[in-house]
Amino acid sequence: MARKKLLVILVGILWGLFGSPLILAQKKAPVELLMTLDTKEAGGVNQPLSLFLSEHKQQLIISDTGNSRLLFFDARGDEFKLLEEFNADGEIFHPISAVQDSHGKLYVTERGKNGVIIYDRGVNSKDVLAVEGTPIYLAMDINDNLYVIERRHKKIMVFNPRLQLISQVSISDKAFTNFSDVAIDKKGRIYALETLAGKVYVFDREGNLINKFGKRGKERGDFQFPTSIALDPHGNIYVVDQHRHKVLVFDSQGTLQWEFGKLGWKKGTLYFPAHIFIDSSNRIFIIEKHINRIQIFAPLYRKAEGL
Amino acid sequence: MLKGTAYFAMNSSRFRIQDSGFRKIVIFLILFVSVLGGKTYAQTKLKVGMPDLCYGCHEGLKKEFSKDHVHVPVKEGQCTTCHNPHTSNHAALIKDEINILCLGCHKEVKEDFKNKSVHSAFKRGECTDCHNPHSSNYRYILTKSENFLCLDCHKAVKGHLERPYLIPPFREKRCLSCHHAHASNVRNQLVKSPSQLCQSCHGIRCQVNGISLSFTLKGSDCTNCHSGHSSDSKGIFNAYGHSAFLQRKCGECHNPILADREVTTKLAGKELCFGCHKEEKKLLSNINTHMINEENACTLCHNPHSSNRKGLISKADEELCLSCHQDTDRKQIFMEKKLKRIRCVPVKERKCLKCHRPPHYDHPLYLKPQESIGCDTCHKAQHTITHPLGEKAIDPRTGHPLNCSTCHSMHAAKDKFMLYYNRDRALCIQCHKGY
Repeated sequence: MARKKLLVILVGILWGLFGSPLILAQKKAPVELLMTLDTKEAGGVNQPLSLFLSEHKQQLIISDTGNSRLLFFDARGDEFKLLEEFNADGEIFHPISAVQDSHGKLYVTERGKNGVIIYDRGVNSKDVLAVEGTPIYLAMDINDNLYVIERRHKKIMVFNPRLQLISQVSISDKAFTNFSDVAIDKKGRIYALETLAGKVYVFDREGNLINKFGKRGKERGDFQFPTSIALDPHGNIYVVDQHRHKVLVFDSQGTLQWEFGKLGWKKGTLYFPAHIFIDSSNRIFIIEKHINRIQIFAPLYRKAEGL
Repeated sequence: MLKGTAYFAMNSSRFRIQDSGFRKIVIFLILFVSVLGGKTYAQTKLKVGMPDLCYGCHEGLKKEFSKDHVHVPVKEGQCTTCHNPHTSNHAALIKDEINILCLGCHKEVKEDFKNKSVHSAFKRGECTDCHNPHSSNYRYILTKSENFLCLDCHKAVKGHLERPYLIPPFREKRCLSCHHAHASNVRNQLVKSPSQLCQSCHGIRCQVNGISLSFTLKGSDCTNCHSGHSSDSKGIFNAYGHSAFLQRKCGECHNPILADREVTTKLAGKELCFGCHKEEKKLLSNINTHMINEENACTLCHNPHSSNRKGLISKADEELCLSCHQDTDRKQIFMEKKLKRIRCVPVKERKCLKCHRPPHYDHPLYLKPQESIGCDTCHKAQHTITHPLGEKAIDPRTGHPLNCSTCHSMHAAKDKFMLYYNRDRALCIQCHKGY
């Protein structure tokens, strides 16, 4: 009996000394800064609002909003060389969001313009997908389905590759304010963020709400002002909290796993991070709009996975 | 027994009192001696019982504490409920910070913080700003009559008493008839929704061209058109009005008004406003346009009919901005506690619109375009002797021109003078790395 007690006490002491600090350290920041994206060749960026990495083309597309253009970088390897800048002969004014399908078609939303503008650069044509209301951020899944956040009517519209509206997602709660960002997982589930309530909503392919979590507050895991959402290849949910200068990482059920980032201007710190995107190689792209910086992070375990 | 206790201390597993009756007697004796001993010790130490012991020195207090309304611990003579008779880290030898001390007993008041609209004095001030902790001649042991207490801070509202047309509760300075002193779930800490509050005394008499608006205005906010306090015009209309409203040209925005029908607008949301305010329509193309994508982008801040605030701003800055940006307010409260003293008036008084003008300034934080973001309005001297600012001084960390907010954090400063870092060194070496 006494031996058992002694064993329990010993295990307790060992856990206290080595176990819990290890877990806490792991939960704290298992990410590293890979690089800061060099945009000097393009003359720098000005208040970029979003970015998208086209997995098919392996191109990183930045909505360089203040400079009224889109910037294309080669995403093969880790160097991110500038490929081209695109402004559709001056037609693009203040792009908010841009995504690209597997055929290279570009879908762009702009400040003050209704509809989604579609550029098929292969045949040099332009088309407009009429969206009643105010479309802002876009997302695209692996099947080329297009997801559009439409702010005026507080909904997410889903279009198939033939640009037919196949479903719409909304929240019927009166207290709901609006969607501010959207991300799609491999199974077609829609993850949407509501900034003012600090909530993450998860919808299935049919648009049924299957989970929601989060709130604004001051406890660990609470949001202060979440602005953007992304999913890593493991299904973890990354939420950028602009006012906490942090990224909070949740598992697919919404349990906080870890968080990283702190206020600062130095490399690796975050200054009002506004937008996040994660590619299939688990590279985490974070836009700090206020200081025109794009930093690329990666989880420490990424190397072990051979990504 | 002593031998047994010592043995117990050395090795508890070997200490056994086999006789359970004897064990009970030992436990009883230990408890009895400790309780009696403790009480005797306390009683013998005090020369005179409380509160007479305290009043022995604090002679004037006994009379002062016998006003009409007396705080319960004072009435019961329990001075040590709040005060430590020996030492304390707080003035007047109180046991803890005043608000923590009060809310320790008044737990129901603590619940008020959860409400949507919380009185700033309640949120950031001290309970003793309004309440006397001992006794008072006014109900709720207020420091002054409620008629004067509110208007002491709300000086602008006090000025409204000079206007010719006043609503009766305001004329009689019965603030608590309409407002809750701490918090409520209705804006401005109103005890009910504005429509319920107004209609509890009088019905809707509003008309347009002889057509009663009672149907459409039943649940509407009366303060959209009328002041809740006073006015220079009959009908107690708000001080500032939309030109179409003042000229009674309802048809400019509304479809024809019919009896017993909802009043509707010609166009939905901001599109209606942009019909006349064409310059503002350009805001849609700005990069930083606060909530401009929302259907009600204009009416989020502006009242389309009238307001008591210039620019038809619908609410006080605090209510307008901080209802969404509560995290900024929380950060600021933390900063205020840490820095103890904030002198910057717009920051202290939550005059958000002094520096930010969403969405009219195309800046990520909607700051005014001047290099000093308006700080030089007050800080004239500092503006002439400061570190170089503007286009010629670029922040190497961000590539942006320096302005006051480069070094000063208005809402989350960590060091004195509302600086991000200590000005002795840490602040400077952010950029001047060679030093």
